[in-house]
Amino acid sequence: MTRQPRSLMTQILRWHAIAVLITAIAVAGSVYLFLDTTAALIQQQTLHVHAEALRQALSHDGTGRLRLTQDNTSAAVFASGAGFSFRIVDRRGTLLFQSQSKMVLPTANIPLEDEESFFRRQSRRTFYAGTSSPARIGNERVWIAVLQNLTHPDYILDDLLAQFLLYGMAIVAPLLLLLLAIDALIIRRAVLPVRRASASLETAEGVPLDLRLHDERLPAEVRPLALAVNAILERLASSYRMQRDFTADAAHELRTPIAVARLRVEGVDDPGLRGQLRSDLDMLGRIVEQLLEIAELETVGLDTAASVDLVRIATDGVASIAPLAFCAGKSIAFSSEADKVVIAGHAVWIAKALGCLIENAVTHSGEGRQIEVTVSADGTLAVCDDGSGVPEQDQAAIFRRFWKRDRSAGRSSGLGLAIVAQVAEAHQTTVSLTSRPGRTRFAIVFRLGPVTQ
Amino acid sequence: MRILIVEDHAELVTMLVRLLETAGYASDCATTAEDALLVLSYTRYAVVILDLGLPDADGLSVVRAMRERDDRTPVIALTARASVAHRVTGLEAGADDYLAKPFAPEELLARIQALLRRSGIIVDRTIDCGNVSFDPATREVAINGVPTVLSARELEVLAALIRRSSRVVTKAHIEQLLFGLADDLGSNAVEVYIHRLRRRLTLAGADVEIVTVRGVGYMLVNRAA
Repeated sequence: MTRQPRSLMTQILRWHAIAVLITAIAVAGSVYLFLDTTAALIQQQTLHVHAEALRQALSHDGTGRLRLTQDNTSAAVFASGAGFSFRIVDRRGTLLFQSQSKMVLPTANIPLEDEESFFRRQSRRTFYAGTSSPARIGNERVWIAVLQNLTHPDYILDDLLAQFLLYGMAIVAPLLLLLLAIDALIIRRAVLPVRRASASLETAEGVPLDLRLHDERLPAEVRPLALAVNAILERLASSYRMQRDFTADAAHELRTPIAVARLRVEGVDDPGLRGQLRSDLDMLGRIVEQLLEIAELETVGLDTAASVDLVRIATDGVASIAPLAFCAGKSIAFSSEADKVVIAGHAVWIAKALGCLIENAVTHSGEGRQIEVTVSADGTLAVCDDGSGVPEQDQAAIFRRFWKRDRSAGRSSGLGLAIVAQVAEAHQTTVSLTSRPGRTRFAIVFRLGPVTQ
Repeated sequence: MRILIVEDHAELVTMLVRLLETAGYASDCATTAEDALLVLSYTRYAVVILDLGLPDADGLSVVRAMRERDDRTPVIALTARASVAHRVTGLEAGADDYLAKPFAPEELLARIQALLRRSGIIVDRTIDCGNVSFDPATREVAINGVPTVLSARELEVLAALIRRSSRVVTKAHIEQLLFGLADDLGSNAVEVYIHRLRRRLTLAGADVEIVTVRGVGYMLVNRAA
């Protein structure tokens, strides 16, 4: 399973949004809890005050009976239709007094305890908060229960609470969203140098070796990474340069001594030995040359975009190698389907590849006599010979460097076909080989150029 | 006729001096670009053989400096760096010819000859191939020592072939030569004149052969060699 990498900004924003959401819920919850507790406390105090007023109003008359003398204020509180109601009972639950507004709660539901107790009850969709407090009037022990109808329009505490929370959230929510938006901008700003550095690497095709990440505003966390990347690029570039320089140095170091030896050979008296040494040194020179060509092909990217005429390249190639073929007792011919076949490619390297193919045909066609170079209108360059052919099992191997069918055969560097394969690769194409005794054909199909006539 | 060798490799210099000596040229040598320019400022040479990998400067800078002070002495650049890019810049810098190390001695001598001929320092007496000799000045042909009369067009074709013996002369080039003489030629004119020339050569007992490179051109080769 592969996970799509998320951007730094998305990740930070996502976690930040979650944190903001949790904070919002926590704030709302604790505010609600705090307000609710406060409201309950206020409610209890109200109930307690009313119960206390009733207790003050209780007294004995002369006959030992209890009497309730309510003042106006207290009477108004418990007036018919008001939100408050009371009931005064004795130990056995016998009702002694009650308010004008009837208390809906059965007496049995009122707790009779030694301490003042507050309770909440629900009866037929109506919520009540109540208190039941014991009082001793002379020898009598009575319980004063005061009940408040919480759904009564006069009771506004819950509404207040709800309104407060609603308005509070209406103000806080946009503020939190604004905070998120500001954070997004800040993160974006902070991440920008990193994005820019990444983009500079991304847009460059194949990352050129002279590229360096040098944004001064890169954050401290990323800078070591950028420096490391720079160091790696630097090292790559220097090893690339070293390899290229090595190629040039090796060329100089190998070629000059061979040139000296080649001149020195002319002083050898024995003509047989002189001829042999000459051809050995020529072979050695050829190997060095092809080795360097391989190295050059590998280190220098070929520009294969130029429009070149394949017919002209092939004509020149055949003309320049014809004497060699003639000396080897072969005849060489050229034919083309058109006067001009324009392809996209690198003329010099195509010529070199063709040279290698013809040389290969000259050297390896054995009993064969005829070498034919052809150019087709579709951009195909082919070299055919009528030699003994390449055995099936060797057909892939012959393009490998230094591969030789017969290791002891000295007249070949073993590099020619490797160069051909590499030139073809540089032109985004391949060398095809079809071979049977009497007819061997190497062919490269090039891309046709922009202008074809 | 003096030739200046600019090369820092002592042994190569020795061998080159010996080679040129046997070919009949006197030579001087310089081992640095600075020396070369100094020597060139007070001595005239027929040809300069210049190594491009000199210790103090790129050999090409010598060519450029020479051309800047209007010194047109022919230069053969010798180089160990025979990369494609080097070859192009070498010729652009004003070198007249370009030879990659290692080279066959006869190749170097042939190039020197060609440059001397091109700059008019030597005028060929005759050009030989096998027992056929051609005198460019008098346009006379001798086969096996016997003067042979050829028609103007046959002579033109033979001259082209013998100048580039053992190398291919393209059919297009021969066509141009023939059309330069007359424009009433058929499409197979080249084949016709090659055929006639072959018969003439065979009849006169020449030991050279005109080889057809089908699709490209013709080449005069010495059967005896």
